[in-house]
Order: sequence, then structure tokens, then C-alpha cells
Amino acid sequence: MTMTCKNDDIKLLLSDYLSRRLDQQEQARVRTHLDSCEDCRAELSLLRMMADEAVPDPGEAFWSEMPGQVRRAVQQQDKKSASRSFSDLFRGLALPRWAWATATVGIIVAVSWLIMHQTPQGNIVPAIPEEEYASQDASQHDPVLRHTSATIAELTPVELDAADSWAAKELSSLAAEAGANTTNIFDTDLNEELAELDAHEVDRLSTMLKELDEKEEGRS
Amino acid sequence: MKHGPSMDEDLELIRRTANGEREAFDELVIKYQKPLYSLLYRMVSNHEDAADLLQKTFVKAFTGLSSFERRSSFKTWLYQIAINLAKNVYRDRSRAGLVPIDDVVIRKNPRTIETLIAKENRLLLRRALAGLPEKQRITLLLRIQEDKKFEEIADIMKCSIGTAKANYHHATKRLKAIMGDDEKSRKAGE
Repeated sequence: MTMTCKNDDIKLLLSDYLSRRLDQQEQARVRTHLDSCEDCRAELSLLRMMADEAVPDPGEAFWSEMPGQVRRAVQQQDKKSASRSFSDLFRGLALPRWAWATATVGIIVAVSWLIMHQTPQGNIVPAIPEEEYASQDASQHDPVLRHTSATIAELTPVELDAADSWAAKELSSLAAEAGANTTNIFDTDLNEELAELDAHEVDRLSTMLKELDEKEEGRS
Repeated sequence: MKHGPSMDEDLELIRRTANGEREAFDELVIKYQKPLYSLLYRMVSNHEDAADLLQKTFVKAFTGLSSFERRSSFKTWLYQIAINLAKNVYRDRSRAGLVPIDDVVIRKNPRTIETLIAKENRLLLRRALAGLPEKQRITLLLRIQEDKKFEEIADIMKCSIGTAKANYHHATKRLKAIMGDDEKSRKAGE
């Protein structure tokens, strides 16, 4: 059995000895040691085997193409990074399903609340001033609108809700007709239009016409 | 840090690359591709992986050029990148039990017994090297096959010179033990 050599100093020099990098003095010192040390001789032959391991040459074409391949790989990587940053942006906006569901429900609730609590002034403006509107025949049937002297601002939330619902009902048909009529304004018969006015509107209109007649009679 | 002429040349090419001159980086590729390929081939033992790793090393160097701190030489930095990439490939393949090794055929007179024994010993050596711990294997490779001084090895492996020498000692000791065991098993089988 080969004794293990403890001379680490010589062992460290073996690879340089192999590559002939030692000066003459050190080269001689190592050679003398090797003459008497089987362990270091075995190590040297192993190191020689390793050093002699050839790396096969892949050929001139391989070497000449490498710079171009590196460039193309860098360009591809740049493209991937650009598209990744786009998808990262969208991924950043992605939320779990429950979050989307909660947000949607919240939006629906908010919009519903806004619709429910919108006053008539915010949407369809009645053609008749508020105080006269409050004194219409229809108001006689509605307990809320019997408070003819009350302004909108003095109504309680419950009264406001009731007023809102009533107004929406009454005005929706008018609004629909107004919309329809704007497209056929020159085609509609005046008599038909007059027939669609309610009683109060007719009274008001006739009063205005009477006043106009009186004025003209006064001039003439 | 005092620079040699090669380092100055590299720094100039790096400066020109940073200014947008792609041809300057081509020159760096041409300068270092052969020694890097040699190192990578010895680490992964086959051409396909070595070629792939060589390209990746340069791509990583190009994209990370701004992070090159110039504490070591550009060549050392390239070696560090290459070794790190090769280590990952080697580890993954080892785990999967796949370490493809090119069979480098000895073309001169393959029929002689000496040649066959030499071939067998080479296979034994490669198996023994593959069995070494990673740092020891790389240290041995850099020292014997890449002809690096211990100072350079310490730089590349980011360790002290003492650690580099210790790794080398342990590697040669272990290699002899493995080869010795293999030799005994081979003789016992005869």
C-alpha cells in the first residue's frame, strides 16, 4: 500500500512542474522528491492524464458564428423583456375574483342609490314652476303634495322619495313623448298636441292667449 | 487595482460597448470564446451543453455589463458567469442521472492494448472527477486543465488563496482514492 505523502509544499508544485513553470532549482527539488515518493508519482500521472484530456475543436464555422449568435440572442431577450413588461402591467391590474365581484356589487349599489336619491331638478325639469306644479289636480290625490306651501328643501327624506317616485311616474311618459316629438315636430298636428296637454296646462295656455288678445285690443 | 495591457484593452472595449458600439462586444466574444468553451466543455463534458452555455455566458455578460465592478479582470468575471451557469446545468443533469459525456475517441492506433488501457483510464478519470464535490472539481479543473494560478482561482471562486489551495489538496487526495478504488474493483473483476 502506497504511503500518503505529507509534503504539501511539493504537492502544490506538481502542476507547475508538469507545465514546466518552475525555475531550475525548484524543478530539481521536485524531481528529487519524485524519485523517492510513490504517492507523488501517482498523483503526477493523474494530473498528466487530466492535462492531456483534449477538448475537441468544434470547428472554424462555430467560432465565426458565435458573435452573431450572441447578438441575436440579446435582441430576442430584449423583445421578450418588452412584451413581459406589458403583460406584467396587465397582470398588475388583475385582481382575484372575489375582489372583482365585490367591486361590481359596490358599483351597482352606488348607482342604484344615486338613481333612487336624484331629485327632479337633477333630471327632467318640469315645464311648470314648482309652486304651480304642486297645485295641480293630481296633487289633490297625493297626500304628500297637499303641502302646497312647502318647498322641496323642506320635505323629509320619506316625502322626497315619494315625490321622486310620483314625479318619475308622471314625467316619464311626458319625457318619452317629448323625445318622440322632437323627431316629428313639423309633422305633428297642432290639434293633437293640444289634446295631449293636461287640464292645468290648457288653462294656463288659454289665460295667456286671453291676455295677448286683450293687449292687442288695447293697442288697436 | 493595477491593470495589465489586456485588462486595459478589455476596459476600452467595454467602454465602447456601453456607448452603443456592438462591434466592440463582438471583439470581446472573439477574444474569450475559446478559453471559455474549453472551460465549459471540461465542466459539462459535451459539445451541445458547452456551446449553449458559451452563448448564455456572453449574453449574460452583455446584459449585465453595467454591473461589472472592475474589482477583478473582465476575464475573471466571464469565468465566474460561465462557472455559475455550468454548475446549474451540471447539478440539474446530475439529479436527473443524465450527465452526457462525449466519448473522445483516441484516433491514433485505437487497436493497441496501451491505447485501450489509456482510454479506459480516461473514462475512469472522468467518472472520478464527476464524483468530486463541486468546488474541488472546479478548482482542479482550473488548476490543471485551465492552467490557472492559485491567485486567479481564488479570484474566480471568490475565496482566499488558502481556501483555493485547500480545495486543490482535498481534490487530488479524493481523486487518488476514487481512482485507486476503481482500479482495485477493475482488477478484482478480471
